Amino acid sequence: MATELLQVEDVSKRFRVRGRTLHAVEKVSFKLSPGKTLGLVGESGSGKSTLGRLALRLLGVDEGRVLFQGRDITQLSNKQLRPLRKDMQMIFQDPQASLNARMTVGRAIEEGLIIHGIGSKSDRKERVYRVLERVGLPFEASYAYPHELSGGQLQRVGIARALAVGPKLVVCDEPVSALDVSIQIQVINLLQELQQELGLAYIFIAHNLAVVEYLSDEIAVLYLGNVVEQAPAEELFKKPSHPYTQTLMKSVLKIPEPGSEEQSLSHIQGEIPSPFSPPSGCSFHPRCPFAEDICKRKKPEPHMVGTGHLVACHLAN
Amino acid sequence: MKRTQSSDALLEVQNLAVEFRRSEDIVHAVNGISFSVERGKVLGIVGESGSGKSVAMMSVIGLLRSNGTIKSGSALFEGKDLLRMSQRQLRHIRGRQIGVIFQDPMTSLNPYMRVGDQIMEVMLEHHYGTTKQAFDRTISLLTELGISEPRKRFRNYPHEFSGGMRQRIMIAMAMACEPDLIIADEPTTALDATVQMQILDLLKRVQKQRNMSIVMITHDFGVATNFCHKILVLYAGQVMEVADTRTFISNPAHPYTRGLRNSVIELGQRGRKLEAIPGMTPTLTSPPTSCSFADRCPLVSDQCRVELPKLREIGEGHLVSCHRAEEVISHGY
Repeated sequence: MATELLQVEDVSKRFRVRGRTLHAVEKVSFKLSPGKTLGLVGESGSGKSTLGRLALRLLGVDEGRVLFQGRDITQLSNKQLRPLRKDMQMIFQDPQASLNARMTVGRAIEEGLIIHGIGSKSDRKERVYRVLERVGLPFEASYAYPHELSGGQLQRVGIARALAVGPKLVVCDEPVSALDVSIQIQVINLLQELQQELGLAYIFIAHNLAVVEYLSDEIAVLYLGNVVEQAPAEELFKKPSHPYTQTLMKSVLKIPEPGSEEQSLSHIQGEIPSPFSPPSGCSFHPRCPFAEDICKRKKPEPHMVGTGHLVACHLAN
Repeated sequence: MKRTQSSDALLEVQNLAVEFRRSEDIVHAVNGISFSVERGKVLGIVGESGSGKSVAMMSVIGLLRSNGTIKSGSALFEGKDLLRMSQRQLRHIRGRQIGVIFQDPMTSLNPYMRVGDQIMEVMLEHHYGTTKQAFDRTISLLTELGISEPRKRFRNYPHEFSGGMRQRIMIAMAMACEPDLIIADEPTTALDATVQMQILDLLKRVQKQRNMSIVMITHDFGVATNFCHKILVLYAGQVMEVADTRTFISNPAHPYTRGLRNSVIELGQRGRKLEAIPGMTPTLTSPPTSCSFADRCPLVSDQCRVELPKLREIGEGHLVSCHRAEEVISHGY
């Protein structure tokens, strides 16, 4: 379809680590339209960050295809990808680590413009000021070094740097989880404003389901490299059909209602197994409260349980 | 400042002030805070980075960084002032009567030592039983904390455990000598959501069973309201509000507390506008002379910019430092 900005089809990625194979992402598919947000949610080792990098072709794909604006970019070399990079940007969790400590903020933002041959020297300066202002920083921030800024300001710089080159797609990898709570809301609101203003498409990666729900149009829940459930955000929260999604939902801490009884917080035993030796059958079965014999033997295929609502669970219907 | 004397206080901190030297100036990290931890109760200290929440507790147990100085205060623990003790005396208390759990167990555990030996070491260091007793107790602690095959796991090294399991080991070390108080500094922040819930439940269970006191240092309002009996909110090294958790949930009286509460994203908030607290946390390079939250406060008045609000009691055990607390309660904002 011509309207899709990004299509990811049956993508798999394996890593070889000391002679062992890690199945980081297994046969994941999704589509993303301009101006929309796909949320990827999962705990550590779920493959959500790897998937984000595959979508941007920052990593090579082992199986499957990645199409950007209808063009197959699966096999493109880094050199061939370079002109596309200005359309596909990324925002990282730790902005401090993703900025050069010896480079002023303005220079760091300008670098992207230089690489992509955008504007003359004076144009670029103007553009840096404009984008800084747009993310809520004064133009003087252009002359600051990363260590002179707070975590929230640095994340704004990270956003400014991604936006400066005028992308169509931005992968946001846990962009607020390292920030103070009061700053998280500021950054979430900013990301939303920018999306509406510029028509950006986001892939929003986070372990916090409430944040993902708040921002996303569609959500994919990942567990050990597999999408266990995928649906439009509202549908997913109205009708969470995979036991893992249900558990994640219960794991979002609510502020207790006044006068309510104290409740047990935990709803699930065990932890995510090592991705090097995933369990047989459904990889969630050792922790699943509903697991039956078939779950240990057979890997569940994703099937539809509602409009655009996919679940990979033998027992969901 | 009103003294909240409580006969049941296990730890009573009064007027604690801590400063840090920076290259050219002095950072006033903790500015005269007072609070108490009651026996068998959980106190939550809530604040964002730079609020002084960790600095305050670490100075109380003698783990202040070397560029920090305690300028004033006392911290009575079972009648003795921890702030007047030598490092040697404090070492006897830390681990024996006060256990500590940190955010990142990987940096607190010795990577070259079997975890069982590390737990035993705490007991042997404090002459808490014989070697045989320490071993038996280690095994029973591991079992109690949900580590299966404890005899086998005893011999494993920290890297052979997952993050959640390592945090259980840290809890075992903190509990080894059956302390009266555990200080938990963001113990679940680095963990996955489902594991965070397991660890919180576990801590809650052992706290109740042993009638221990816990100080839970956290930035997470959800953790504080679900885990603690009483909550203290710190901002710029000052107490903004103290109340039992029920009062805190139903009647927060400080605009900052309300702002923090509104910053918790819960499920089902799609399409709703989130109210952000504007601006950022200040770093105080001189002692506060007016309300430190004034610049970010939606209710700010002229008085707030010139007069430091005192911590005052507005209900039973409900203390707040805000000139306009009554209006916050009656009107909200």
